Amino acid sequence: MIRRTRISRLPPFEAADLTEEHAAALGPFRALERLPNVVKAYARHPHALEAYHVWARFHVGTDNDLAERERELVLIRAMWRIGSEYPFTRHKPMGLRAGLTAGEVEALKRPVEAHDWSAADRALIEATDALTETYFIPDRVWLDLTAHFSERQIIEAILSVGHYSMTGMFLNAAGILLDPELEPDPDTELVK
Amino acid sequence: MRSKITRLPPMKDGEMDAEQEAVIGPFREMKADFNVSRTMVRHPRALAAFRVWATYVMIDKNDLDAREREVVAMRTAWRIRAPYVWSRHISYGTRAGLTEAEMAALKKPIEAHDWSEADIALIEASDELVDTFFISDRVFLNLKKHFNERQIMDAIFCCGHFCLLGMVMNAGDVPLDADVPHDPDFDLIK
Repeated sequence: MIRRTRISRLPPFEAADLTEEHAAALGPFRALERLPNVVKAYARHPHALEAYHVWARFHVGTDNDLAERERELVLIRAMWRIGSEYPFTRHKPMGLRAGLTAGEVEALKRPVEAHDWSAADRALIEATDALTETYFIPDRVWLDLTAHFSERQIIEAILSVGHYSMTGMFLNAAGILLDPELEPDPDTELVK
Repeated sequence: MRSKITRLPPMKDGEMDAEQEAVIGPFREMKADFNVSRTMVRHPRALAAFRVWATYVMIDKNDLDAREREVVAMRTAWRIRAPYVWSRHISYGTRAGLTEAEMAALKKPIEAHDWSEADIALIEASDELVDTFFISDRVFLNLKKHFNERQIMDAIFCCGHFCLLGMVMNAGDVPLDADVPHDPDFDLIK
């Protein structure tokens, strides 16, 4: 597990930290002991958590246009590229459940040429790389996306990269460490 | 416009189906049916959920003062090269108390202006988040000197939110709204 900071930043909020005002604002999230560190991190700011939760839920909705496998491919790639260990590690098992193979998850840590991706997967990976590096998608990659995905699927892919980048930068800046049940990926040690 | 192909143009009145009309309705009522919403309504469920988060960042129960929020929003927009976000925020920044000189300085290296220590902390945090998706210990400690915990969280959320929005606006090649000025400094961007 990587520890990138020597100072205490925004440690996960625990049940013992709860004031009455805080507990009321947290509503359904007040049972903190059962929640993962990502929710405990946002719980320090209950008003933010309330709004964030509505938006975050959209991305994992079951009636979305982009298939779960493709969503996980995009966001695992994005989290690797921005060096956000927490969501990267949390989503690896979710990606496997959604149909990514172990070989594919490993390949998401490598240059796109290092694996025999389908043209559709390649378009998603290149779009993710372009967005996290330049906040833009070049025309060639955009045309590849439109060759394989509908407009709403493309919008969901872009929103996923953006949403998880926003979440990843918060978790990085907050100094959030992995939940105890998560298996650290030894390659994340390479992330500076 | 950075693209030679049509990507996600804003939808015009008359192009939207009933579901899209229902989602754009509240924006119209607030006279805020800008191109950002008219593009995102191409996926109405996404816009409806996004609106809750965007409203939190810009309006509701956010602990960061409007001026400080605009420092982060506009610095982020400049650093990620998101002209739509930048132009839209010129009037928000002005209303929140940013001077013309401060807005011009947000497009320059931090040393080029006599910023307060609190502003420097916000600008350096935005620069680091955009470049590395992290905040160094030095900058985090500077933030803690001037802002409380919820304000620091809101500053990070603000930067992240506009990175997200900038990605959508840039990738969708969404044109500026007719009511905002074009900043020619963005033309220098490749």
